[in-house]
Amino acid sequence: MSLRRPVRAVAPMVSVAVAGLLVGCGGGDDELLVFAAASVGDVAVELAERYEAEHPGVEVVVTVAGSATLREQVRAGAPASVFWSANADVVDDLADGGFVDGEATPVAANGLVVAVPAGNPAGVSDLGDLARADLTIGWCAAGVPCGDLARLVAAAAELDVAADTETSNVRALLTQLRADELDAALVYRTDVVAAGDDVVVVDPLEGSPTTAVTIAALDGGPDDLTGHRDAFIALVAGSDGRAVLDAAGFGAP
Amino acid sequence: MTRPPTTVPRWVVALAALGAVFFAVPILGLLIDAPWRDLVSILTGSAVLEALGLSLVTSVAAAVVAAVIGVPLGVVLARVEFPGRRLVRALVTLPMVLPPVVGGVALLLAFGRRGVVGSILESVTGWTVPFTTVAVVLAAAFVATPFLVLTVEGAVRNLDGRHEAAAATLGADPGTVFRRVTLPMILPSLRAGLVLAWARALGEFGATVTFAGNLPGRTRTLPLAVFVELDTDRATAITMSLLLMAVSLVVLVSMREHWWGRR
Repeated sequence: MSLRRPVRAVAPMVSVAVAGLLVGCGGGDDELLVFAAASVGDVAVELAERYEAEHPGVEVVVTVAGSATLREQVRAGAPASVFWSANADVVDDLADGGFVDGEATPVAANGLVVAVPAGNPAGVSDLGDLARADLTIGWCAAGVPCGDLARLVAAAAELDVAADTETSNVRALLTQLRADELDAALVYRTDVVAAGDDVVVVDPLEGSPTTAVTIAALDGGPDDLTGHRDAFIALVAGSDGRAVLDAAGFGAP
Repeated sequence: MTRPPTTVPRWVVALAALGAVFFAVPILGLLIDAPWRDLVSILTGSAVLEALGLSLVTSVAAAVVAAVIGVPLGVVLARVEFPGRRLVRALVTLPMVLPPVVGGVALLLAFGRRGVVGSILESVTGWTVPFTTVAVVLAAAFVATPFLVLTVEGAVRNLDGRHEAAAATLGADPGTVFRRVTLPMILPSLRAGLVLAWARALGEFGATVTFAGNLPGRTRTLPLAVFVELDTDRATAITMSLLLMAVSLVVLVSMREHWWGRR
């Protein structure tokens, strides 16, 4: 079977089951399971395809969900080999639990921006507008990387965000911006790049706190795939990975 | 009604036992993993109480909406012949089989501020539905009402109409017949359908998170809180799951007689 597209997780348990199935029913090819944060999902899929092209006989299956959701799946025994997180804290949690093999590698920096639907229908001008109760505002929930970072940004600006919804991964906010149901949201700079013309930045939040996008090898994957696991991480952390990350708008680690 | 005892083949019993285990094991998993020692302190924590309160308010409101539109729908579907009745019945019961998240998308496309109805609503009143508690009620009513409609329709169909005809002969107008004869006669089914609709509303997740968003105190009901806490605080997530399960179990056991018929 060929499943190169990301498996988007709605319910954690479901995708643990899906991950199990993917590994369980692998045909001839070896399947390297990569857990990728929502914000790096596109990049992960692109690099997975590149890796497969260079290594015939290996299938890199990318599961995309919120970092915290993926962390809980790893804790619940998902057989992933690579964990690519939106921040370092989530990887640290896994390392503390003994799930990480070796040292984690920071591969990029990412920051938040104030994004609005194309045309900026509500006339949002900057971060300060997120305190306006008359606007429909979205940000990520506390405890997930984009949510923790958003709270850091708000605290640094001494801003009380009048949020109307909290999502467990950043791409859900993007969907709501695209549908024009939100007036503004705090999303990653890279998400806006990925969204094309549908979503625009009104405040790039220069100088506000950033997060370290981090990749780590997991202990829980199949033992005979550790070679591919480490080679895939090397690809991401190397010059090829850097180029793809650059193109997607990620900063240097 | 007593029936002669029948023998069930052994393999059917074996498969039935396997089926029972299939349903019991996940519940067992929750019970085993439950943080029993901290249960009370978690249950009385502000986040849980807030979600519980919101869940109770919105699910009861959804049940009221279900009663107001669901009972008439059930009665009309059972009693009135009109072209397109099958289509209407299919339409009304569609949410039972539709993935709730699809229901949420559909609601957003209808009542969202760029939606067919929502955009008119916004331009007239300046008010938008998504991300409000009202949206939670709408989403819950959308998925829950069909349960009441089907129950009421079935009950009304099972009436032979003699009592109503008698009442009409004695001079009761249709409104009186409906209120004083029809409704009392279907009361057990009505009650069962209402409870079932309420329980479905209480457990609603997909349509809610899609259409109403997820904000503590405004739209984060218990199921949404479970989803959020699974990523951050497992003990709280499991505790809230237990709470939902306990409520559902109490509801099912209390209405067993109505749903499966008396025995």
